[in-house]
Amino acid sequence: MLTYFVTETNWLNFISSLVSQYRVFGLIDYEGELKWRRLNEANSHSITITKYRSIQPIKKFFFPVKEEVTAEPSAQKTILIGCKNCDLNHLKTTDSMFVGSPVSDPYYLKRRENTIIISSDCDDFRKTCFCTSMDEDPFPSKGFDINLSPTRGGFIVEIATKTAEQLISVRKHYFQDPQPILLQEREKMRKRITELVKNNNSELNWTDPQRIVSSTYNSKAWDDDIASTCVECDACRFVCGTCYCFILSETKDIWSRIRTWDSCQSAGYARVAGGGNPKNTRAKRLKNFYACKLVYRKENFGFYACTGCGRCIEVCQGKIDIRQSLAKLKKLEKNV
Amino acid sequence: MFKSPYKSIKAELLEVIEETSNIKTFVLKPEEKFSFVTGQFVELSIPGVGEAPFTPSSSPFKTDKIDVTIMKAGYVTEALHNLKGGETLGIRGPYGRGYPVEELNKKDVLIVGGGVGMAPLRSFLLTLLEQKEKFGRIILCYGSRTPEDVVYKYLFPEWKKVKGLEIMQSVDKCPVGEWDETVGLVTCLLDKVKVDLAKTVSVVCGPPIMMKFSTTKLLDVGFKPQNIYLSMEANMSCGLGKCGHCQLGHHFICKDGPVFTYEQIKNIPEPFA
Ligand SMILES: Cc1cc2nc3c(=O)[nH]c(=O)nc-3n(C[C@H](O)[C@H](O)[C@H](O)COP(=O)(O)OP(=O)(O)OC[C@H]3O[C@@H](n4cnc5c(N)ncnc54)[C@H](O)[C@@H]3O)c2cc1C
Ligand code: SF4
Ligand code: SF4
Ligand code: FES
Repeated sequence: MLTYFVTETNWLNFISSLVSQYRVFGLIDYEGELKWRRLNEANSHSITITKYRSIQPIKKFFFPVKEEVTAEPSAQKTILIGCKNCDLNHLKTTDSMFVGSPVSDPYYLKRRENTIIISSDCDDFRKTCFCTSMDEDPFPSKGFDINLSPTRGGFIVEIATKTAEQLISVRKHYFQDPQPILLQEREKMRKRITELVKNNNSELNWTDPQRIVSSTYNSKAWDDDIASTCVECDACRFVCGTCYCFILSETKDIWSRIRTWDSCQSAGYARVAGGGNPKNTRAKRLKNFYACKLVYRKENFGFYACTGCGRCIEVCQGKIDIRQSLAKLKKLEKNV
Repeated sequence: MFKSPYKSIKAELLEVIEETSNIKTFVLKPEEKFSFVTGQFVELSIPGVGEAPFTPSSSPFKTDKIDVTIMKAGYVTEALHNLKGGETLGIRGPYGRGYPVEELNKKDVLIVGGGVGMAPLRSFLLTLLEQKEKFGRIILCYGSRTPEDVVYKYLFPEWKKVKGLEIMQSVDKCPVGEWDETVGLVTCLLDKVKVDLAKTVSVVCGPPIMMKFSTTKLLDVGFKPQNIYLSMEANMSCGLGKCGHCQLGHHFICKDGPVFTYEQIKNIPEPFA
């Protein structure tokens, strides 16, 4: 991988040089909440690169809340700056769902192909972050075009793809070779943030969530406790970067069709004609969410569809915390 | 030219055949060649109204027209039932994996149907009859609620004449004298039929409750889980293994099914819920 050093000022100048040619999105800090915003000459110098993830999942850049799925796909060249490792890990699931067997989703694919992903290490965390419990790191090692690691006076820049090389090569004057000492410092920084996230979850004692959810699937605790405060708002599913569910519907323009995000937490999700509903209770639905992320997709793809980003914890009106749910279920494992 | 996998092609509704008070067969002529494997399904739409999944009930060897037999069950199916013929519908597919006809070579086949579940089974049966020499006995056990609810009433007399095809029928209830076959659930027929378990596979389609009891009965009789084929149903939207709606454990019914062996789904909690 090509590695450079860039000063903070040069990096921001580099971004400014992109906004006229690409749709560029970056993170703007609203009192600690990072939100994705379209960048322009005016705001591109006030973005946050590192810190932690945004509450908004990056799936919306590839799989918008609502879109027509009968027209020819089109996508503008887009750059996302500030994706975190949990975001990149989300894309593993959406890629596996939307690309390939039996056919690729042309809309997702087109946007994916036309998007350059610039990620960064985390140098801070949110109380809800638990990527380390899911055996993930708070810094990317793959899945990006460019990754930035904060260091003294700027960033270490890793270039992972040809697209990224081209982007940099015409703007080479911003970048310089990294001093080896900076690379050593990066390793220290990475260890530090990993420890911080681990400490944030030090009271959690579970491992192997796949086994925990499978072995407690028939427990009454799902009804009596785990799902009992769910108000069926669907917020947890909409902020989750691996949730790919959608529903197709007809439009007034009679030969076209739109799709909209859907949520397995809503009562009608699995309802069939005649009133039958295999997911007719909140407990069955929450159980489905956990099993989908921690059991079924793991069986299909070999990795969890939960990256420990903690978004679902942050938005839950019922104060349901997947980390605590797993801890509770683990206690029940022997008693099932 | 770009063609979205979510876009339907046009199909002319040639004819609507009334089967029972709430089941009709729709004869469709797609604007392009549309071939399918028996047991695969299609997404049929009334443009601007709605879309739903159905399994063709005609033989896949008949390629110019496709029959779909539909029970009135809700919004889309009711709108379909209001059509008279001559309208243009939307169709996309075919989707999923159909019946493993090749694997049934030299086997005896026990077909168990309930209600409108006879629709996919008619397509399957016609496929077997087309190449009857490849199979051993073909036995059809078909249960309906009442004699009026039997679909394809006009075909049964013909089928009963086919050599090598054995047909047993039941109705759940019926006034005395109006039915000369078995009265009782379709599972009663499974008590009566004698099969050689070593070379018989069963293929079951019907409402979830019927599939559940039939599976239990077949297991009791001694069928191995891998020799029981089931057509699973679920809420579906995309038909392409993307939208998530049809998930059954780690399976996506629309692309891994809709036909599964009981072996494949037996460890999933409440597969017939
Ligand atoms: C693979 C497969 C093959 C099939 N083959 C056949 C066949 O050959 N013949 C046949 O008759 N049937 C068949 N069916 C069943 C058929 O698809 C359903 O009967 C049909 O979808 C009913 O649609 P509807 O709009 O009429 O019913 P409705 O009950 O109005 O709608 C059912 C769908 O609409 C949605 N819906 C409706 N109301 C609500 C609500 N209040 N909240 C949330 N969602 C709602 C649900 O998502 C549900 O999927 C098959 C089903 C599958 C999965
Ligand atoms: S389930 Fe929750 S913690 Fe896991 S990836 Fe989705 S939003 Fe993040
Ligand atoms: S966010 Fe919480 S309350 Fe809302 S649907 Fe999810 S679990 Fe239920
Ligand atoms: S119907 Fe969409 S995934 Fe099966």
